[in-house]
Amino acid sequence: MKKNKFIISLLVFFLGFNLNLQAEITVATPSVILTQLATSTSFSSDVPLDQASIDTINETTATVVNQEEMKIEVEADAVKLGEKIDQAEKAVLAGEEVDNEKLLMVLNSAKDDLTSRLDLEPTLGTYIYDSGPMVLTQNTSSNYNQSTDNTNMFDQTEGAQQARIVVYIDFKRQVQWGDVTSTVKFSATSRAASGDYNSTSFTNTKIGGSSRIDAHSLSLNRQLNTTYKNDGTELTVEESYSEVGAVPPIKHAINSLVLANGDHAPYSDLDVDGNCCFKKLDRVDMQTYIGHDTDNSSGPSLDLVIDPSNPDKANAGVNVGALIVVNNEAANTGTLTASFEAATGDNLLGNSGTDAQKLVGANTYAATIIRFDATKTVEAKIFEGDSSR
Amino acid sequence: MNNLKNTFLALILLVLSNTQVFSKDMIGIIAVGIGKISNQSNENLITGSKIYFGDSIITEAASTAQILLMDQTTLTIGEKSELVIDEFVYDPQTKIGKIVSSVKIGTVKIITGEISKTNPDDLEIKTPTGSIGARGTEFAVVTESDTKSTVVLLGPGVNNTLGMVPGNLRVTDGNINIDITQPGFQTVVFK
Repeated sequence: MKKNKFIISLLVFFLGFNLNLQAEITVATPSVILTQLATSTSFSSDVPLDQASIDTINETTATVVNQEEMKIEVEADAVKLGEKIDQAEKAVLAGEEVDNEKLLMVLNSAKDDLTSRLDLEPTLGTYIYDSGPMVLTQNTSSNYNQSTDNTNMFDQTEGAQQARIVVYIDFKRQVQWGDVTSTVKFSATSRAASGDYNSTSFTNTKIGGSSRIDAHSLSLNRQLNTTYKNDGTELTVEESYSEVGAVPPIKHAINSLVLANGDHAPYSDLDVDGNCCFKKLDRVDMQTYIGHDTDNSSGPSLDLVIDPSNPDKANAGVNVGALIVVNNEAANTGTLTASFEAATGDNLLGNSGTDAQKLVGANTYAATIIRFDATKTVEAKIFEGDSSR
Repeated sequence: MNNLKNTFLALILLVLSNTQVFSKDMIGIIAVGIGKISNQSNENLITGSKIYFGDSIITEAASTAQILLMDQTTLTIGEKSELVIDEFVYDPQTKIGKIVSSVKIGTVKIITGEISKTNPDDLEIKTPTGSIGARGTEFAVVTESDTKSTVVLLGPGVNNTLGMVPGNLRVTDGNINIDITQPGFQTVVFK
């Protein structure tokens, strides 16, 4: 009898246990009840608030929401995002009263805050052009590597030079940005073998600041250029000894220090449109930083730590370029080009004499540039949200 | 036997006394009240009404209430809904506390506040079919009946540009846990 009772108890226990297991929970799927949510919580009141209610709300929310604290938080968040924020903006975000004119100014300023940003993430609908890993090979055009004086500074082993470009175009916010990851490897048979380089290979990711797009700019090419010193670190404007800095000013269709006709890229006090931009001194800096001249017997030579008082010393760095050309108005495809450029010529070429003599010198230097590049046409992927988590 | 009885009584008293600590404290306010809203004592609640620990907030058809709790957690209650604040402890100095709330029926949207920011595990929303733990996020719960509840993560996304902690929900029916990390995704819990 006791045994039967025990078995019945056991059955009841398991039945209860199984009933509990019949609870069911579904996997996460796209929601179908958002409209229901909106409908359920969207009603308007036609009853005006009385003064007592207004006073209660003011009193209680003043306790709950500490405006001073919130202003500090707003400022901290702004710093985190690299944004400057003025007192009027803080007041608005903290819920303080401001006059409408100021509020309008704040809202208007918010429209322009997407320029030169380094922290943008794609939003739904953003076009993404991703080259994937690309192997760069030496450009054998006659415009490049005309000097026979020096050894090729790039490692020519297949796969040694690599880059990846990712470009984002956000049409809704009318902004685009991108970045390029590059691995540069110097030749073991060149000066790397004798330990002259601080680093024989280096990998960097350059994040390009965002820029505005419009109907006219989209079809043009966009470029991102960086000079890396021989130790693999990025050359900063502060390290340059000219006015603007030695950040390469390449803004022409092939994104090279050498133009399609073999001349050096234009550096002048006025650019081709007559606007002041990159000065001649920047060309001098560029030649110094990407110069790999190994003629130690006379004239310029490598000096891995640049001394501004000795501009005849070259640093043996590399210019890394990225170019995107959006191929049609629909922006479905884009052509991405990555390039590494460095020169074997005398970096003092074009530094002195008349303007005509400087031009000849600069073009002679440009002819010694060695270029590795890779180009890929990719179809834009439209960002649909992050499904990786 | 008497010892056991005494211990049991003492435990009950202890539980009751702990509850009393919070029962008269105001824990929030109806920041917006539209339509007919009442509490467990059938008192009408309007915009500005205070919410106390243990209150039930009940909305009728075409009515909605937005509750702002002391830690800045915001609860938006849809029409024909009932929400109970089961537990609310909050220290404004340390911003440490705990919220446990039950969605008995209807729709409730939650935007987490300081308590969840300080320790995400200290916010729990219960439904008749399961419970939800939330990390720095905005989400909604729709309880259709005692046997079915739907939970939706509303945001923010992983790559949000505001630098906010990405939303993360853990929904459980007592046996199985489902994590929702992508805004706009839902899970349904049946019993």
